[in-house]
Amino acid sequence: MSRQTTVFHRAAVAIHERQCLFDGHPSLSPPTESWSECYRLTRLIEKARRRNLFAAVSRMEAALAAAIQRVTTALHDYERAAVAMRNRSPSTIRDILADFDAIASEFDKVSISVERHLITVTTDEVVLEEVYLGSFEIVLNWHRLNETGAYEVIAADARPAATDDDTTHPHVQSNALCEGEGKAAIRNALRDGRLYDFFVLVRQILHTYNPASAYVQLSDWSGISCPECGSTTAEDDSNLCEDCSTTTCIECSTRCNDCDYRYCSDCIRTCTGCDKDTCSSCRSVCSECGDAFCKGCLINEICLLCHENETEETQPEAVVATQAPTV
Amino acid sequence: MKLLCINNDGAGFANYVDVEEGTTVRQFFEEHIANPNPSDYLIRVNRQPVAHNQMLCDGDRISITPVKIEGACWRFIEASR
Repeated sequence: MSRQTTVFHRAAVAIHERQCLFDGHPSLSPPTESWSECYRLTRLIEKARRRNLFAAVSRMEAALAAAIQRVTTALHDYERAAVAMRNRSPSTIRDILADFDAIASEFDKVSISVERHLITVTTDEVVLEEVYLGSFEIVLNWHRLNETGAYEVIAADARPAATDDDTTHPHVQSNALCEGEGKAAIRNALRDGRLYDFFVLVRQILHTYNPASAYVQLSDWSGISCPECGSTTAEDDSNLCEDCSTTTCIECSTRCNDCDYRYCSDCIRTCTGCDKDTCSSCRSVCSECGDAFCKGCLINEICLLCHENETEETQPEAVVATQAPTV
Repeated sequence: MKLLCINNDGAGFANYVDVEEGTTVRQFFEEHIANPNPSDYLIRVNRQPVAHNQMLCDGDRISITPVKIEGACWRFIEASR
């Protein structure tokens, strides 16, 4: 017997014993509420008939039909759950060994730690929409098969999203897979001890991209490096300078007080007059002093300061001129 | 004859089903999947890949798993509650 076969066998026995110990059952809840609603509506219909309230009878008959439909659907679900519960039996050691053999033939790498109750399966390399995410280790703790957090998905050669180191896959954050459509199937596979099905389900989720519900969308995976502060930012949080077309993070861009567009720090200046941020298009040079000002701080291409100085210079002459005749 | 069918397209319950002798993998698949396109599924009999025309045997374990299963993110699930 090879070492791997021995380990497989020891693990299969341990998992089987663990499953036999587990005495939990899926909860069954008969559709009592919908059934009570049918009763209530039937009583109301009879009461309305006795009082000749025909419009009310018609309305409640429609409501009763809908309630019966709900009961029927709920009863079918109830029956399915009951059958599944009746059929439930712990996987045999033979089943678990067959699962191990199938896992070993379908996955690149399988390792088992009987002492730590862990099965680690390595997937093939995951590439989604041309973004390379590398391979992932699916680590299952068989002592927690019926609990949430029974397994972790760990990036073997992590290529996390630029904006979040904890997101190693659009649907994996902090080593936890958000199962989405696969949730019920994974829960049932773990509950039944169908290990091969579990690992295949997780692998298929890792090979699928759902852009509508991703921690980080693949289009933002690499992110954008801000040339000003050096930080990496998602495309949605970046700004394209209206003047020089440089992309910076939103924090390194500044809004022009006049035109409201955002600019990089090279393309925006503070107005010498009012200290407000102004872009080159909204900024003009005072024809007297040569400093740059926003439109509000210039009168006839002259800044307010030069304008005041000019007025002061011309006023004494006017005083002299008006005083002259009286002298 | 009786098969163990695991349909992972949905809740993934394992159920025993009765089928006629001589039923092929493809016939079984088409009867049990709503929109049957074999290339969209991983079909395994006794955990092994099989040809579509392979005949099923009594006691076989057949599993049908979609190739694409969409994951999600927790904040999306919280928001949709």
